[in-house]
Amino acid sequence: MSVTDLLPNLQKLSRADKFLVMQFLLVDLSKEEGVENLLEPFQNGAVYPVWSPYDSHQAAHQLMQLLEEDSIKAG
Amino acid sequence: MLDAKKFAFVRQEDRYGVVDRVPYLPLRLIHKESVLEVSGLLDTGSSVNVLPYDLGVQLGVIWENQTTEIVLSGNLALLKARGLVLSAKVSDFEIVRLAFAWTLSNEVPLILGRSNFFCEFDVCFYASQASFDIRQIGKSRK
Repeated sequence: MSVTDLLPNLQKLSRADKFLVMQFLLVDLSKEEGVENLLEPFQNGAVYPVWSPYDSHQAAHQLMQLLEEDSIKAG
Repeated sequence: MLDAKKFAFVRQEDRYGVVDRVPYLPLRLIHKESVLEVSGLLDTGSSVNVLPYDLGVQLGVIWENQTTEIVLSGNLALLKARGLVLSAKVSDFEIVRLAFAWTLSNEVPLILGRSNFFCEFDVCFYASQASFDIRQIGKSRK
């Protein structure tokens, strides 16, 4: 695929996806150049997923109840 | 830590090729006759344990049979989840029962969180050495 084909498709991407593409290219280029410090510590606009459901107290309570029922069933 | 087992962080590369070292714990999940060797992300920030959908399916669990609906937060807030209790074996420690928020997604890692993984095990992280120690909490200390 040529750049001419690629650019219109890139323009259709969402803002978040454009950042992802930019991040991919930065890492790829830095690898080719052997430049490590481009990656450290964070890149402006990069996406860093945090999966922790950190304040799911109700969920935690429900799971503890489920465990209690499980232990009662197990006798 | 007395009676502790040491594990090394796992070297992981993201989709952009950036390398990180992550505290993944190898463990065995057991449901009835099914056994699955997996790795769980030790996440003290997570309120709960989280199980990706496919792992539950591989263990023979049927989504429709799990009736406790769980509401998650953070990045997982939009994902449907149901409560699921499984047996788990870590290293040569005794088998424990772990309750998971089983999500419909496969985009999440298997997360070991405060309810109830960290009720069953004490973990000491040594980030500078890229390792952690883990010890089972005895019943008398819970």
